[in-house]
Amino acid sequence: MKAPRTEIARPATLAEALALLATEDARILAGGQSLGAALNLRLDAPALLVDINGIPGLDRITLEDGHLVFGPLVRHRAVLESPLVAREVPVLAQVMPHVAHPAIRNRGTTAGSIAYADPAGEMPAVAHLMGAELVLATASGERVVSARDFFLGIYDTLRAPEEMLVAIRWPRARANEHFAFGEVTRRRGDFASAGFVARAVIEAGVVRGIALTAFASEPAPVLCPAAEGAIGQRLTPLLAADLAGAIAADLDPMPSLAGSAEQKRAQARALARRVLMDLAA
Amino acid sequence: MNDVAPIVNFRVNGKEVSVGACTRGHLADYLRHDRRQTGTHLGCEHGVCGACNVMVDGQVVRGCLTQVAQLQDAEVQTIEGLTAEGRLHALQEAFVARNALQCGFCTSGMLLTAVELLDQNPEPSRAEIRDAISGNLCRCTGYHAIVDAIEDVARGRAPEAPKAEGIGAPLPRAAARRPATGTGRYLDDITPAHCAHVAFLRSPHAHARILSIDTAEALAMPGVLACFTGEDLARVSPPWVTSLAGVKGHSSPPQPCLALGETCWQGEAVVAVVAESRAEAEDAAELVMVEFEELPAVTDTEAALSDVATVHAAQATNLILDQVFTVGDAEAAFAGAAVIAEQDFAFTRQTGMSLEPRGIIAEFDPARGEIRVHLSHQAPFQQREIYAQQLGLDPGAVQVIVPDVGGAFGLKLHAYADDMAVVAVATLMDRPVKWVADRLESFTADAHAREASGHARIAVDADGRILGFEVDLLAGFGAYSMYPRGSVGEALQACSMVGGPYAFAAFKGRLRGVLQNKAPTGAYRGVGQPIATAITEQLMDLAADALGISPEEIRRRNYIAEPGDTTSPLGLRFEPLSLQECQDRLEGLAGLAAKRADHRRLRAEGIHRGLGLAAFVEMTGVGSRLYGPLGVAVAAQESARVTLEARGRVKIETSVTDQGQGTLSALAQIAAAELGVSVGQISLGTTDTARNPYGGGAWASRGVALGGEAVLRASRGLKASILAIAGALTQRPAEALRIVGEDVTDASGSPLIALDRVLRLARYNPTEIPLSVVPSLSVEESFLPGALPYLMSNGVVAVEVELDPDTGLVDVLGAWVVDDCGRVVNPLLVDEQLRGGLVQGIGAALYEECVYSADGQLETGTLADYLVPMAAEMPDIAIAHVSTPSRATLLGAKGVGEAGLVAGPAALRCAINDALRPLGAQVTHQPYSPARILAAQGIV
Repeated sequence: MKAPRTEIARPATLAEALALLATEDARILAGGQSLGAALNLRLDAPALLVDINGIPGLDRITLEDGHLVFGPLVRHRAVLESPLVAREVPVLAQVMPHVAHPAIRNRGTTAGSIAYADPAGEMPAVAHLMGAELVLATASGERVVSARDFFLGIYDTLRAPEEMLVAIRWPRARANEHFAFGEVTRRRGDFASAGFVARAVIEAGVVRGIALTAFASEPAPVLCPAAEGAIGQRLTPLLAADLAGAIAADLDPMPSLAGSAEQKRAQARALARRVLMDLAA
Repeated sequence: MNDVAPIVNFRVNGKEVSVGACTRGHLADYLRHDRRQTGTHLGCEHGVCGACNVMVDGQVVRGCLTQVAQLQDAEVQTIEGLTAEGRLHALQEAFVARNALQCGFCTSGMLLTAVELLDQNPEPSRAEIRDAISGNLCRCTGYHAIVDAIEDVARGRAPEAPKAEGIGAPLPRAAARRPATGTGRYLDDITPAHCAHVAFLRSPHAHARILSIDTAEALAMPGVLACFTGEDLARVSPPWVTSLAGVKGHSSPPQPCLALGETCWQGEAVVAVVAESRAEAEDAAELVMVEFEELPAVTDTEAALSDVATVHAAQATNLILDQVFTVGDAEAAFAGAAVIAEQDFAFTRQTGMSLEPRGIIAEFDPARGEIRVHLSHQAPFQQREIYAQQLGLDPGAVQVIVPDVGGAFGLKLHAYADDMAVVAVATLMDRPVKWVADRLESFTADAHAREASGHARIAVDADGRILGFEVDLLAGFGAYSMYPRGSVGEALQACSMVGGPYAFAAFKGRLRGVLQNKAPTGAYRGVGQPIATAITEQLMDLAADALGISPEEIRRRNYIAEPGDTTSPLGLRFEPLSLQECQDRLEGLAGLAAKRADHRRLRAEGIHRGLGLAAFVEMTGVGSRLYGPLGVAVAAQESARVTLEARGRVKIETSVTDQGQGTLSALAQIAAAELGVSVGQISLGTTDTARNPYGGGAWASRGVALGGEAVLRASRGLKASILAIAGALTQRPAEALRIVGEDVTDASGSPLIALDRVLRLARYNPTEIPLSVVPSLSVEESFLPGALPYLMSNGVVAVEVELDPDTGLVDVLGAWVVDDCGRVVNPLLVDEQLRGGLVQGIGAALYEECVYSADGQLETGTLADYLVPMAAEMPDIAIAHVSTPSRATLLGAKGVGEAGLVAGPAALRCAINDALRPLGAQVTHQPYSPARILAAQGIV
């Protein structure tokens, strides 16, 4: 199938891009890895594509005010290869190899992935877990929302059509912080049927703080408060199994081609136990 | 807004280009259409398959997801840029040397992915290679050879070049160099001058009455040339009926090019829109207004039996196949059995999913009343007859040309309504017309296969000897019995091949098949045999378990072991088989005994592994007794014309078609060996009904088994002619002469006369030859085995899996094949047939599923939803051969194309159920998905 006819603009500055977004039925073209498929399948037919690839400076990864900041054109591959990322937000480097395949990672952007908010997307889940600050800009100004609040549902976020996600501000990992990630996919790079990403501060084997974000089984990333039952305890297999049962029970998985709600809950239970044990490892 | 589209400047393979940015042309379309560099292929156009991978600034990207607008100042490299000054890249050489490509449609993208991998990681492990190429879909090879080839380059090792070229030599295919360099020529790479493009409006409903069609708005769209409805096309190509004489109860309603008043599956073509470009035709198709009145959809096979609703309003019943087979006394067999084992089975629909979609170009010459059709197909002569019949033309007025085909697997064996529509449209237009299926159309309108469910039992005596089988099978055929071969073959073979490798006396089978408001079903590699083998091998394991003997032991006790030709209770005809020898070899190759001991030990550690063994017989080189008596106009013989040409070259023209298997290369090897020339002297003609001798094409693994025999016989005839002429010229007895390379020599190998000289004298100065009749230097032979209905191959496959009982995921750890396809002409080709088939078998067992909603909506319309095997999850596959040459031919080769897929799903099922047995669970419904594995354990 061929994409419908669509106008395309190639602004030279962010201001021009935001102005175009304010006036048109427009989509931002960054990496285009989801948008391109939607166009080719005629699932989307916008009046205008605003190609931001010609705007200089949007692909930077910088350290600012204790945050690691991604511009909107930071591609997955750059994240994977950045020593800065590996040092400051190591969970990103840990998860990135599970995002699609090399050819997709070469073009796809982390901001695009977060803004698109596919329920099975790994980057939205990591942003959610880390409580990344998402900077949303329009022609008239900016606002900052926490990734904990940003995701509303399937492909649904707080971002208004005229807003662009212009920066992702990642809090740096703390010392003693452990991360773990797991997802259930039938083939490498597939959309997962269940997934978790987790962080914990563990001192002398005892959990001092923990957060666990579930994704893929849910319409949007969701925090699993039952994981906090680990605080003050050692993560033994028995405890992990108990917590996993509670975590899975709290989920509200959506049925899809990848499985029924009950299947996803069962997979999430098995996965949560493993992810918790990985945190302790 | 800009009034003028912005200009983008970039480079393609070092050449500066400057284009207006427009999202219409993604990069792959721009390369293919604007730059006419067609080495970049489109397999899905939604970013999954990787066939369109190209390099942008040294990084691999999806051509279909990259907008030209994004490429300012970029350096684009395509497959065409990989070959520097005619010298192949080391990876291209390695792919050819390893036969790491078959149809070649994925190869451009795969090669560029491999280039990037080795740039970044010069010494990858096999696992890292598999991971890196896991975003590139190859439907043919099974990936093993691709991993080998990339590993060769990374390790700086080159596979040893074969020392000989004769039959049995692992000779790389010269023909593989074209796809490896992006110079293969597939259907969509051909666009005649003034070609118009067709897009179809397809039915959104599984079953509906068409109340009205309004094309006015569509016709007013830019670039639109015409719109045609079912009524329009029925006037030039009336509905046809699939008729199978002698198949009791079989009936299929007349099928039109485009739906006539009623549409019977979601995806059936309703209106054809013809425009200057495909994109414009699609734009207009969106504006065709069709008023549908929805009718009840019949989808479930059990529900179809009730006939409460029918698939076609005018059809009284959905049941079009209802047979009972009884052989021996099944009741007594089961009454007297020491053990009866039984299980339900269900096989969800699959589809062949060739990476290159179906496509057609039709050009009608009204002055001469001739039509020329380019078609991506397996059986061009079949299609020639059909188009002639449909259009009322003389068969000689129809020419069918088949260019390179990007995979077929049976699905390109049929006469599809949408192809028929394009041919009909061509007769109504004054210009060529072209249609190529997009991936969604492929999923909704290609032949589906395998839908069957039921129950099966085996009766075994106390010694583990089989007394009998009982099978009750209900199959779903879709909206029509597929033209011209019908849809019933799968169900018939699923039943008649049960118990294939074994001796037994009694059988009772009940077989029913129904029409449904779903896509029609047809051939997919293996046709019924994968079902029969899965049922049989599962029952063998269950019986072994009940008797407390090993799966190896029960098979050993039951193999057909006749030294001569035999006929099974179900009428299967065998030459001597080698099942026991294959199993013995397999037990060693796979280390089965040690693995079973390991598995017992690992179970205590909570690791759940399983082994699956599948013995099989494979019906290959099927002759005329299948379709002939049914009145289906399908040729079963294969033919070859072998001709001496100037400069000592030999040309082969054949009815055999090649979709990447390498069949034609094997034919060249046979001709070269028989004649005594080198393979390099052989040239192969293209597939064209106007040039080639008549025959079947490619179905039922016939190319080498039957076509090879025809080539051998024709080559033998040509050799006799050459030597007779040379003998007369040199005053020596022909028997004392040989052909060596480009010369006729004496017995010691001393050249006496050049082949070129023989040809020149025979052609231009035959009176110089002291013979009363100068024999022809072009010899044609046609072959069909007289005594046997087919040539039965056999073999045994084993797979090892590790099961994650908590998530339901299955990891395939290893796979082993011992196959007997008679005389192996080229092991490089045979091994890749086995591996590619087995990986399709793994796909069938674990992933592939055409999912329909209850109301007949296909839910798996993209490659993100219909899962096929990718490299990361596939195992290395070890192969060994046992050779029992067929006695029905001089060549002795049997077919091998389907073996892996005949046995693969059975081996996987047995392995998964072996792993599940200690957990008290069994899976019975293919694919054995996480959902079904969890459900079997009672977890969900």
